[in-house]
Amino acid sequence: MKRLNFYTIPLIILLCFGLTIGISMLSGYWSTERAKLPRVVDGSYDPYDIRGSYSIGEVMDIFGIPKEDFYAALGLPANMCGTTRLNELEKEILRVDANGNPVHFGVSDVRTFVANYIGWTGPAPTDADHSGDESTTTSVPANAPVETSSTPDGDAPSTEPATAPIEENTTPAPTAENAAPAPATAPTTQTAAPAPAPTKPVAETATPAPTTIPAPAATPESTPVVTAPENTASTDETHTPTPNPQGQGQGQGNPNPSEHTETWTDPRGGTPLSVVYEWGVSREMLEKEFKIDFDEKGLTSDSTLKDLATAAGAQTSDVRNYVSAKMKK
Amino acid sequence: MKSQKVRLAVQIFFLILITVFAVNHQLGERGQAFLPTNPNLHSICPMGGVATLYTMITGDTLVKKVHESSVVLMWASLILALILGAAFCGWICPFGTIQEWIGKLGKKIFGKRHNHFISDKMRNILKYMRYVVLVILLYQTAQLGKLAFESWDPYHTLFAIVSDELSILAYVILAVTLLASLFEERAWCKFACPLGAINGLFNKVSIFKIHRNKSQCIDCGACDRSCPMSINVQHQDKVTDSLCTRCGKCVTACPAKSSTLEYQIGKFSEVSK
Repeated sequence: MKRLNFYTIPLIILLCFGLTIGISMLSGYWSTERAKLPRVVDGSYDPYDIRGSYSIGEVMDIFGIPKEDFYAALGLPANMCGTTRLNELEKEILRVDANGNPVHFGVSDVRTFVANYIGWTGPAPTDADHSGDESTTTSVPANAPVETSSTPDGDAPSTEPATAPIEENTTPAPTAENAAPAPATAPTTQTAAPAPAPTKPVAETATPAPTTIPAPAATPESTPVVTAPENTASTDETHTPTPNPQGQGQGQGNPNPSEHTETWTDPRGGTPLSVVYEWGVSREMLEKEFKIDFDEKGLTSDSTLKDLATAAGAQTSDVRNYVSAKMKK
Repeated sequence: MKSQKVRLAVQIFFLILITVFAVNHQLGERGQAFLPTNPNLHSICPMGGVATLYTMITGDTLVKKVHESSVVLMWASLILALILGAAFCGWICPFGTIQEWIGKLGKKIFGKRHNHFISDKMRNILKYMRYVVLVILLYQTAQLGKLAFESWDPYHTLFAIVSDELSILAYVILAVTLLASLFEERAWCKFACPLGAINGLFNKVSIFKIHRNKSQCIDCGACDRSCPMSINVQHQDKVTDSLCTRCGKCVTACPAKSSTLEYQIGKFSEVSK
């Protein structure tokens, strides 16, 4: 029989944890942060494994994307620091869609842009690729136009991008409406030239009102980037969707998500139910899971997962997770 | 009582450690981290290692937000459990520490009624809920490839309370958990903690256990009354209940001879009688 003095318990704790951690450190296994490298699929880094914790510079380095292409395609201010993490952008940067509605920047935008840019032919993204740090983007991602913009080799685009002409305006605007895109009068371009650098970085925006900065010239659906007020905790609260009274920007973006069926590779807040049905998740399954009647709640196949979440009083992420789990891989 | 002061010191140390990491991580989200490393809360919790076991075995990856450190800490806590039983819960876990302190407040408010709002029978049934929670979490995490409990884990909510990633549900669960600790000591640990469920299993096989020397016991019941987990120590030869956190309060409370209740290897021999 060996008695254990209670004073020795801290020593045992110290030994157990100290030795285990020490050995793992010596062997190089210990890591409290993810190595900033996406998983490798068929010898290439998987763009759909890009995480919100990656910085802009890391993404560009890993995938060999020139800064001008990356910044232009995603509408980032040219003087934005390369160490800015993608999930920080989600809080600070908004685009404005064709109707003048602000749209969140999304990590998934980056993933799809990179995938298109490098010509990714690997497997489609899974839920694990996107869950957790994805954006709440509800419109077509900014990267969608990449197919018609520059290539890694700087080739001319295959189609003429219907570039949104954005006037450079660094004057503080009183409302979000003022940040709506200018009329689509700019000449089309066949090159992937990046947009002129904005004069104000997001982080340096001093005024609480949104400021319009140029959108990328090479993106047919490009829309202005609106900087969120510095002192804003949540962009959701500050930038409530605002209708575009002038109808400016019509035709530049496509606010109807159902027309973007081909772009939906994973469930997101803006994914229409019609797409979800095609993934094998039926209306009945959704009604049963979220205990609502679609007819009663006015949900149609054009409604989005976000609409469903709102109607069911659930978190959008819960709805997405459910769809991810049930969809035919 | 000195042994309880040692335990308190260890608890405070780990509470401060985790708080520092949590604050650092929150500041790190804003680019203001003050430590050279910026681990998230999941990467310094052994439960992350448990949750990712399935994806580690079936694939070659860890679930989102879980890092190798979680796996290492899981092994460390399992080794500790093999030696001491669920001492991790009673000596290290900062969430358990917070509940324990709230429990002290509850004791002042409710007096002797504190920790006796639930019958022993009901408590013995409810403690198995931990295993239900554990199975559900492991299944969901395996299905989703992400931490299924991330959105409502009260430990995570408590230490990331200013995070804008938390849902209302997370705050509600944290509030309910802490409020419940006023009535029932370590309510979360007793009825819902999946890590405690695993650690508790080791109480039956750990090298050191708390043994009772029947020949010296005066059956005063002080050990029972002092046990925060409401274990019936007085009528056991050794404490193997899965709820035991190895806090040692029963040992400290024992008014009989010093060798009546001991944390030791093996049974009391005739010599010790």
